[in-house]
Amino acid sequence: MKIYDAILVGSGASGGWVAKELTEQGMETLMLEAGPPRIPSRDFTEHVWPYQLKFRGFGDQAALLERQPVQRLCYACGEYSHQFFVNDHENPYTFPVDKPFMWIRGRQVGGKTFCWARESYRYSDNEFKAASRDGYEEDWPFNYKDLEPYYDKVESFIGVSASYERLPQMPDGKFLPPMKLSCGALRAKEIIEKKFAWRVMPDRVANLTVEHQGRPACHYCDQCQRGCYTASYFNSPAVTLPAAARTGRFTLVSDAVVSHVLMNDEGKARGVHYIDRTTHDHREAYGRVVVVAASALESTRILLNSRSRRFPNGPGNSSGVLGHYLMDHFTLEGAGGFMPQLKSSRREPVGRPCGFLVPKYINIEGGIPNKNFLRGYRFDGDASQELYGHAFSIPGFGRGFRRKVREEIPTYFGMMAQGECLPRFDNYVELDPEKKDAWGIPVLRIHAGYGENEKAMAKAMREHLMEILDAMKLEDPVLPREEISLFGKNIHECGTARMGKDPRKSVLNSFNQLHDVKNVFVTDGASFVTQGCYEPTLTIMAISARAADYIAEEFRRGNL
Amino acid sequence: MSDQEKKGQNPEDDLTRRQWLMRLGEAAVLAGFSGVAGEFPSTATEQSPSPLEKLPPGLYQPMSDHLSHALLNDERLHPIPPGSPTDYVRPLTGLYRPEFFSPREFETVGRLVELLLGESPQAHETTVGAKTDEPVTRELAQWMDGVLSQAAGVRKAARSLRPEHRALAVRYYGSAAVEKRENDEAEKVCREGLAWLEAESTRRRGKPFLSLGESDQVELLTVIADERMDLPKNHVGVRFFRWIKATVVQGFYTSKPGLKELDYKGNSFYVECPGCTGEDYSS
Repeated sequence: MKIYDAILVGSGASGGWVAKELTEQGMETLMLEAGPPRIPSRDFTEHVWPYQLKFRGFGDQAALLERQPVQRLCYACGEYSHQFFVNDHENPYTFPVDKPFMWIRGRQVGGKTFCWARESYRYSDNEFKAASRDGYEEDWPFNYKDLEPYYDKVESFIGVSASYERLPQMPDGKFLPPMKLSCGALRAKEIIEKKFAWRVMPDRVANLTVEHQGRPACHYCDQCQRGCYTASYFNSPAVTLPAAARTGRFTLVSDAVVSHVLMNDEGKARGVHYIDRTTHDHREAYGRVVVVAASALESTRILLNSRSRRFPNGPGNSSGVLGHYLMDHFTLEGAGGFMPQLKSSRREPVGRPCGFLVPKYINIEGGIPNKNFLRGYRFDGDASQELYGHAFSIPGFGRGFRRKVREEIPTYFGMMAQGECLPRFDNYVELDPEKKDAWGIPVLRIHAGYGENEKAMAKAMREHLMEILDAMKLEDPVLPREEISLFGKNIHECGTARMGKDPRKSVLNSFNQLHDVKNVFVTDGASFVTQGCYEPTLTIMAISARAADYIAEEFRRGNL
Repeated sequence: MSDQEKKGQNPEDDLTRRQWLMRLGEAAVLAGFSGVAGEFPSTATEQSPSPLEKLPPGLYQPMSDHLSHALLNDERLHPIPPGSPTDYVRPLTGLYRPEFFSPREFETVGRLVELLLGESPQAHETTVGAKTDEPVTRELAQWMDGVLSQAAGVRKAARSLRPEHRALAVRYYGSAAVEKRENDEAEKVCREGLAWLEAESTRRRGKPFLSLGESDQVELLTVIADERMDLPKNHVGVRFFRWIKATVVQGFYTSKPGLKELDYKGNSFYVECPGCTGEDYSS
């Protein structure tokens, strides 16, 4: 049986980068992906019209309720794109009644990179060294300067379109030209920058605005999550995985559900155990290094399930923190209203796959302090013409009604706030003692709830949103909801196998290496120590590239 | 408004997608597409792959052949890839047989759709479904029949949710929305509404609804239309009007003529990022 240099679990944002870097640096790598391959000609629904679909884009509600009762709650899971999300009955999980958790997953070659919203912001030392500043919990074991070359490398390769803003709290990067703001967003920029001195900028997105490395520029259909034939946004199947494949040192086995890491008697990993997704045959794969990049909670699940006599709580868990410090952003949504100045009878071009962002100013170095809570939040939103939503409130019927729908086009401005969740020991995942998934693997039981800090921050977010709504002078304004979003809804779950300098308080060292087991690494969001209020994926990719460099170097030296 | 733009406003307009895209000024780009797999109008860089490279399943390279085909595709139906996870509309062979409505009800619904949209009466029972030239009113009547025949199944699925999944739905959508999904019976609203319409037609004019002239039909619809305040909200006819108008709005504005009428500029190909094209907006 072949012994690979590296076994890599997971083919998404993290796995793709590890595969590319390890194979380019000479390591024979076997990647195991739990889900199936997606085939563009069969699975993509780009440029399909609603009238070409049986349910006209509204979705087969009975099928979604039956097969994807959790996934269907995700905005991106519908008639066009449900195929990229898991079957909830094959992939169950549990949670206590008083701590509902919405776990959104994609299991396929590419993971969630087919469905992600592509927002790509660099973290700064406001995130990496937050603990040093406010005294809460732990710092990351590296700082921004350590990760900066990897942010550079990742952005340069995948292509991120953004504006240079020179904001210390959200460092500029290696950018392609930015996307534009809509008419309403331009107006919002004027108002918000004047009244609050807060920057309004186009979202930084991993979509190409110019041709980049053989991939054509985005053509602005705004259907990224249906699959993109032109590969004009970042997903691993079209960007990082082909780079790995070209080295000739990359082997991909899909439909391989990894259940646990195989350990030898010396306390080192020797490979992984996996189950064929379709036949349910049990198999093993052997490698000198094991890298787990199955997505935050799945990676931790694999480690927890890798219990042995030597590691009764799972490898990497001598600290007792494996599974703990689960975080996800929380949001306050629903704020918005109509912009009467933009009511028009003319249709605007539409299809830009992003809106605008207002970065964090609260509780950052040199920013606006708010002593009611730790850390901070940011806003995003957009203003766009209603397609036909306004028709529901126009009275009448017949040609006169149709003329009004066509000629009285309102523009709706919507905004939401996204806040940082503190890492708490009490927010954790464990293996459910009873329930198993379709392959007999114990499922996760997830315990997560927001606390006082989030509630206090939500209050400020709400007040702030209302001030902005006021300044915008919107018609029929809708106030932001009072309730914090459902935990997991933002699909930015991070933590549960955090990094740290101290092996008594962390699972991984600063290179994502298990303190306990030198040849096992976890490179995805599980490694996060804090989360900031920005999307994690760009940072996951940078961390993965950095960890892969370290793995290749250590492997060359014979230290693994 | 120029003649060209006025032309575009008319839903009966015969503009093909290619003409429409060229109107947007993207002709240069379209012309650059030759439809050959892997070929792009831009210059290849050192790092760009050979177009004929073989990648493992699940990985892919940028492709243009699908794109040019999709953009020039004017068809009502989409080709169905074997094994596709997507429910594309399938071509009908023969006449459409309503699954929920009786033949009489189906005819009446077809007429109501025409009235709500202000379309002239179409010949009945002679058209087959899902063709490019099928009138949109037929398409919508068929779609509504489908929605109502599936409604019981959706309610059953909603009521069969495991408690933890129902709890997530309540937390996400709110309990009012979840209960509505579990309990609302659109079939009942329609059936009772159509019965009311027939009874009222007989009462006022001594004839069934379909035998009335257009102005009488419009008058009857106006009684239950949303502008009238003299009937209670839960009146059988008012509830029915509310449902059927909202459903027609959903159906029409997701149809080919409806999207054209809206002058929808999405699902398209832009060389430059759409931004703000309006005149000075801060007036």
